[in-house]
Amino acid sequence: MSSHRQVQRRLTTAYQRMADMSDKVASNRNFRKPSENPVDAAHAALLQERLDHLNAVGRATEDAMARLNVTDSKMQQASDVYGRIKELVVQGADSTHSGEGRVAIAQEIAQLRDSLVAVANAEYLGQPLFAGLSEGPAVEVIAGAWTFTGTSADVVERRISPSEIIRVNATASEMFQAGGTDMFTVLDGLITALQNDDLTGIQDANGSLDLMRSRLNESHASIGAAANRVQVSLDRNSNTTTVVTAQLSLVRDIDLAEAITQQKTLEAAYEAALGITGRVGNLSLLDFLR
Amino acid sequence: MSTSSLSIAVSALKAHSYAIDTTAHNLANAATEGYRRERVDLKAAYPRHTALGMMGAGVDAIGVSRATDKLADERVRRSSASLEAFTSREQVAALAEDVFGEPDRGLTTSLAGVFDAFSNLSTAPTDSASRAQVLASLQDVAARVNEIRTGLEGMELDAISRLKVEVDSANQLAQRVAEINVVATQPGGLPADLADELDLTLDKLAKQLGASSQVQVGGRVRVTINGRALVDADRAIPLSVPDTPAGQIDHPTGPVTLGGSAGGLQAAIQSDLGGYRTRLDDFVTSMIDKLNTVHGTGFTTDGNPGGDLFTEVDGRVQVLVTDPAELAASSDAVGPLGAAVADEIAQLRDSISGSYREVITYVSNSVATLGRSVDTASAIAEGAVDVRDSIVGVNMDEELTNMITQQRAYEAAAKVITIVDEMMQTLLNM
Repeated sequence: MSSHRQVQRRLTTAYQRMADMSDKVASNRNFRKPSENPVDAAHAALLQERLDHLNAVGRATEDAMARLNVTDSKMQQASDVYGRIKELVVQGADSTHSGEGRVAIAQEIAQLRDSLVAVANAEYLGQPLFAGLSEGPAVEVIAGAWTFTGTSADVVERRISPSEIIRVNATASEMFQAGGTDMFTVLDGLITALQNDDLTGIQDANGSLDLMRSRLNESHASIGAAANRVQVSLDRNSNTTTVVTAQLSLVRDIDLAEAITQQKTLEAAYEAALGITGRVGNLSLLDFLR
Repeated sequence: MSTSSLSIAVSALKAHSYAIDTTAHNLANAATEGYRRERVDLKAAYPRHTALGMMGAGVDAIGVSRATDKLADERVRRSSASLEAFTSREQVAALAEDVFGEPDRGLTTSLAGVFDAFSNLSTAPTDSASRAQVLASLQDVAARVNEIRTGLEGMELDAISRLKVEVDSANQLAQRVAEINVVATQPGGLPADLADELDLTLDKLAKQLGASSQVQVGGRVRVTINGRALVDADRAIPLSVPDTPAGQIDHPTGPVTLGGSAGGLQAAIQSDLGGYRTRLDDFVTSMIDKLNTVHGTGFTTDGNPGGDLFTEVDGRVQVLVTDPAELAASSDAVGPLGAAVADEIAQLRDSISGSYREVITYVSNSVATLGRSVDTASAIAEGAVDVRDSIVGVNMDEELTNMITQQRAYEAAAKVITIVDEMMQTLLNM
């Protein structure tokens, strides 16, 4: 009876090996449960966690990039508006101009002022872009005075790598307030001076405008620098993601070519075991007795 | 002279027909569990005095003996006890690993969901969909943790009821051994079928409880577990399973550590399942603490400080935040667009997932180690059974060969009678 059990055991073992390998090939995994290979399973879990982390940071980084791009284009708009205002101021300051001409200039500047206010109150995904951490509006007139919400302390930050956080906003105050006054008050003064043919007032406003422009340029430059950093980080994250994905696949997934070859070998071994058993199992002394 | 030849031949006919009967009996029982082959013991008959001196008087069948090998039995019982212990333990542990559901359906995935959701929230702190996503992921973690705990508790209950069944059935086996012990003291000892049953029962007791046995003077068997008597003379001492603590087995003299499949269940309940639960509980406590602490530093959309995210009631995790607005994403009381705290929670990923990975590694290593122990124990146990079978089992070829010998001997004895008859005829016809 013992030889019979040994034969059965051999067949079971050969079959089990073949079935295990088939499972691996079908699932494309080196292990289906961690206990099949605790070391690789723990390593794979670590790599998977890194990958999840990188993907999450990647989404935050892309949000940072989109936000900076919108901010940059709004600032570019503001810069363009400044350029036009500057031209108009130069015309208005020209003493040869008539009173009516200055009134017309004042009207255009009033419109340009409104478009600057619109830039300052611009939104991204339904939230004000330049109001710091509050829900705005960033710039409004309260009791006849231009009032700003959000200061340079109101930083909106995004994580752009597992270890790096970057500021991705500028506030309206940082763009339009300087030297104890602000852009909109200066423009209001300019409009009044133009309407009243007040050439000194126009000259004063012209000086303030240059100060304001350099203030905006500073903000614009820092947003551009942030965008550069974010781009570098995006590239690096995508590189790291590729490397980690490859590592994970190496640890977790089977080498298909090798696995299929092995499976074929095991199949052949099982068939051989069956064949031998069929032949040897038939042998009995009874066949040789008369 | 011829009369003594006849009686020698008759003794041979009788002896060999007994032998053939026994061979037939062996062949008939070739597949009977616990059957051990029997032999007719032959002995040369006591010689008679003649003028020439002592002359042979034929053959006597002096009895039927049963093949035994106490050493082989001992090895089989000890190795099968160890195999059964590891097997039943490994089965429980492997099921527990399934309860954890790694790598695809486990808590790891749910935890990743929480950190992904907080990471998204950190980029869109006022977006109600992001907030709802965070709440859903927290609920998912609570559900998974509770599911794993319920699963482990259910497995413990299963193992306890299986342990009770094992112990009950072992108590009955011990009772049977005590009954056989009564027969063993009677004149003539144990008949072969009872001897087979006794050996089989002792095999089973070894497998189920890891019990060992010693034959005592007078043929009775004493069965012990770790030195405590289970069968003493004609008395069986039953084991009992108290309700608490889980996995304890009581002998009248005190708690006892079993071997065999019951011992495996005992170890699974006390050390494996218990160890997994302790580690899971420690992890859950520290996870809740870390998340609540960081969340407490933040402010909700209404500018209130963040409350606890999770709590534990009666060993079940509950999500305390039910309103998306109660999530404290911002580090600034008056700045709802700030999301530094959401980001900080998202950065807990490494430490929390890392601790959970340790839990899973502990579980999977323990299952893998038990699996290897089963492989080793099974090789040893199979070897021991093969050795014992070759000693005491029925080998067809051997029996058939014996039968040929016996048949030939029988034929030869019959031939002797024919020849004696012919000699008689010769004499009578003179």
